[in-house]
Amino acid sequence: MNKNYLNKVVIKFAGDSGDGIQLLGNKFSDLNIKDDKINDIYTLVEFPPEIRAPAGSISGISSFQISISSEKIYNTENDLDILIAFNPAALKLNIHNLKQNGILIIDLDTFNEKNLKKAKLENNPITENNLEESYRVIKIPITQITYDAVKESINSITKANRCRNFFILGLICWLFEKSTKDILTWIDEKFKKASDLIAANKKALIAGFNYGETLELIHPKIIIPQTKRIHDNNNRLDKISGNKAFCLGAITSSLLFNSTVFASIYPITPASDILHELSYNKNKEIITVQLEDEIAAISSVIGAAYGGTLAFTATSGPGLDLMQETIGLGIMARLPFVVINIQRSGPSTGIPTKSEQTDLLASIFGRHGESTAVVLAANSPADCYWSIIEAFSIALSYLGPVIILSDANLANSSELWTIPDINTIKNKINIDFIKLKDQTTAYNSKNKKQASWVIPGLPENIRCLGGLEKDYNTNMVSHDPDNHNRMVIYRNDLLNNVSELYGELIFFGPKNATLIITWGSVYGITKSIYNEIKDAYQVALTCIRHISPFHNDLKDILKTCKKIIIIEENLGQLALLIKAKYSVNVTSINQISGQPFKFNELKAKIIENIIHDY
Amino acid sequence: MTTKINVFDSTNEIKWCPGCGDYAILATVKRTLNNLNIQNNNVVFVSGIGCAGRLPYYINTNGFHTLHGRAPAIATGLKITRPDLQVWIVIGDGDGFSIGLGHTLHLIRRNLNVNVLFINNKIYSLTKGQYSPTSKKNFITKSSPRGSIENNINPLSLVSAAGGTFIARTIDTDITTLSNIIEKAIEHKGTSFIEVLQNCNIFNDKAYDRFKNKENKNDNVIMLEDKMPLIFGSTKKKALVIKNLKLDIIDYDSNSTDILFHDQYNENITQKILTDINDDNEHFPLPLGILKSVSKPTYDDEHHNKTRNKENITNLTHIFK
Repeated sequence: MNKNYLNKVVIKFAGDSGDGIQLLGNKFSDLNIKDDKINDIYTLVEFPPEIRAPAGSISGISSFQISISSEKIYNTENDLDILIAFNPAALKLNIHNLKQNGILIIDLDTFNEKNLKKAKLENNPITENNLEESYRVIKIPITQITYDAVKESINSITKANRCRNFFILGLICWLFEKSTKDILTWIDEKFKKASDLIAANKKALIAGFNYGETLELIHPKIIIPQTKRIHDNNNRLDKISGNKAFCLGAITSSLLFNSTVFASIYPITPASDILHELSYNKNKEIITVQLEDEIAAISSVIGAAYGGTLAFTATSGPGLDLMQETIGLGIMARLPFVVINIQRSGPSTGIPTKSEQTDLLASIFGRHGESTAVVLAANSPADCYWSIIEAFSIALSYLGPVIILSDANLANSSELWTIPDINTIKNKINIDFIKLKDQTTAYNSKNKKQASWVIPGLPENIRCLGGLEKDYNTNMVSHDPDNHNRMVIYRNDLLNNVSELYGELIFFGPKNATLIITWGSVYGITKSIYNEIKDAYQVALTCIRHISPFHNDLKDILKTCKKIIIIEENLGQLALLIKAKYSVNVTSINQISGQPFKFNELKAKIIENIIHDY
Repeated sequence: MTTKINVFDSTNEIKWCPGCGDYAILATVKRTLNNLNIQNNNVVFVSGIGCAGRLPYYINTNGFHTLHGRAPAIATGLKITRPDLQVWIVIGDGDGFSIGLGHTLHLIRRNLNVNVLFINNKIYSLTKGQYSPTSKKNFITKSSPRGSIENNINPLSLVSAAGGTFIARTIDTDITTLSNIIEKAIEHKGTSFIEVLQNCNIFNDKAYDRFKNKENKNDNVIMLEDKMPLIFGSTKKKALVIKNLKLDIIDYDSNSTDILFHDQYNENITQKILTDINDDNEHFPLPLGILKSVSKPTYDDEHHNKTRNKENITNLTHIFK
């Protein structure tokens, strides 16, 4: 049999919002991790900002990209091996990312005058553009074949069109030598309320698979050797997106700290999934609410924290702006809670669905008064899980708010992940939540370093918190100038002490080399590049997960390295901080396009900046 | 009456101006809670910013003096997670009906089981005298030296429109009525909204004198009693009626027909009519007492009813299907 063995394949499905692209992508991703042939995967979904833009138009294109590899994948790839375009607009938007000699699968039936016009194409790319010269083009009349396959079950062209995603799924299953058995079972369950759809989707799936057989002589099957990661009894693998990871992290935190978790979230792209996922899993210990705005969301969070509950909110840039006053109250009243900020393109409404790292300074310093906040930054979809657990731990030790930075890329990407065993994590947590809540007030405790979180309702314990300055010794309202000076310094010391709670700094390579510094979602692509170049160049890599305060070991690696390159998706916000705090010279590589860096371009820029001559 | 130790008495120095109406309100709140034998460690007063916002510092119970306008939202998070606590929200006319109007109305429509003490002095006092949303049009203040050009709002009418289940009003000096309202507000399940007309003797003195002066107060207020006709006046000779689709006043005698009756426990149109009479209305008496007290499901109860399952998650793999 004709087979093509590859280590990594990148596929993108693109079509109208209503074409079922996400379902197709998710089902195909699962096939690569759920049978006994496991591969590493990394997916990225892209939605149009409009809900249902006109069918066939460029602005209505939704897509699902999946990388499948025999080795660990750290980031979304830019270059596609296979592009499946459901219509001319999907082709136009994505064809430039398809590699030379890559496979292009198109629905020939959609390349008619009407759709070409909607995609604003003057010529028909199928007949005019000589695509065959650059790509292996598979033109299939998918609309017609699907209709022929399903017409006995649903005799409607519109409805039959909605089965095209299953035709493609069947075809891709054939191409990657995946069994359709599990999907057939899943169809029975998913569509059990509509028997005509069960039959139609199954027929479309089988038609797609069988169509592959007819292609065999021309196109070899693709086989990717499986990874070393396996499912076993203790570890189960699944794909996890950044937003879903936050939900699981919140649920885990509830178990780790034996506390109810209260999440109050006002819908905003790209953070809303956290509200959806967590609301679905609501139970006695997981409370979610949707209040009237972001101010109410964060206000209810601080109210729940005052009452002694683990509480968090999730938002994006515009919401963060609205929440700043309440975060300041949290710092003043010393109440522990977590704010997740999924960064998106700004300022103002910006490009709501696109990613940036432009809220770093706003998160650390964006409030009036001396009110520097604790800020963590997750560096992969799965790291969002660990970030929220760590953020709650820090919030409880420090007694104050902690901000976590994620971004639209991490939110919408997913990676392969071992579902952790909660008991193992539990052994690593050394905060006695119950005891913490039982002690006297934060400002009033004798040992100022060991603050505690007294909650209302305890016998013989009355407390009044607030935003007014408090006396260092008595905890009563104080307008005394010397006391205020002392309290500002005291709060700043509390913040700086947070760095004592951190684990190890992420660092690879020699200490006397060119040091690459990244944070957030940029870490993934930088790590991939680093792995490619580390043997050929004197280069080191660090990822800053603790944005404020910095890790104590950072100073040392900054002083011993030859040169510092900071890569971030903003105009140099982390660079500004590092330069100011450590008085070092920094070379910045920045991009603020809403898109991830391009692998080869970034690699070239990094190499260009590495010092060779020593 | 024997002197009883009041556990709600605080040793903190009170910093309101001498003669401020807030003193009487604070004293009545403390006395009523103590008389009801409520444990002070199970009560929380959440307040916003303004003179009224300082109240939690002056009462010996849990307090949270928060942000301008946000007390209702903060109390929402507290009450959902701690249904065991008796939660009070203290707001003023600037705090609750200007910057925080949205939160106030959303709190009421959700019918969260809390008590709201709305202290209305129709002026921004803590910022030293600017007009508020409840200040009358043409009112001269520092920020409106030639008179305010804004129409004022009627807070209880808004509360009613938002679906308020418990609506009451009294005056700072009427200790008996306030005490009675507080008791009923605590009993009520849902958002109990109490408006207290409070005299600011510095920036808006005598604002409510026509409801207080012995000579004419009986003509300017109507004291509500459940199941009783809506009659008022020093000799109870005036009555409220609907005539030609309008609210009207007639001379009352025992043969009068079509008199409006007060029914606080069943939702009815008379309650709407009563909440629509604002304190600046010179034609009709201002209703004082409990305007409405009806039973509806509370947000906290509904919230706990709608969960995926009652069992707790113990293993993450359960979430993946």
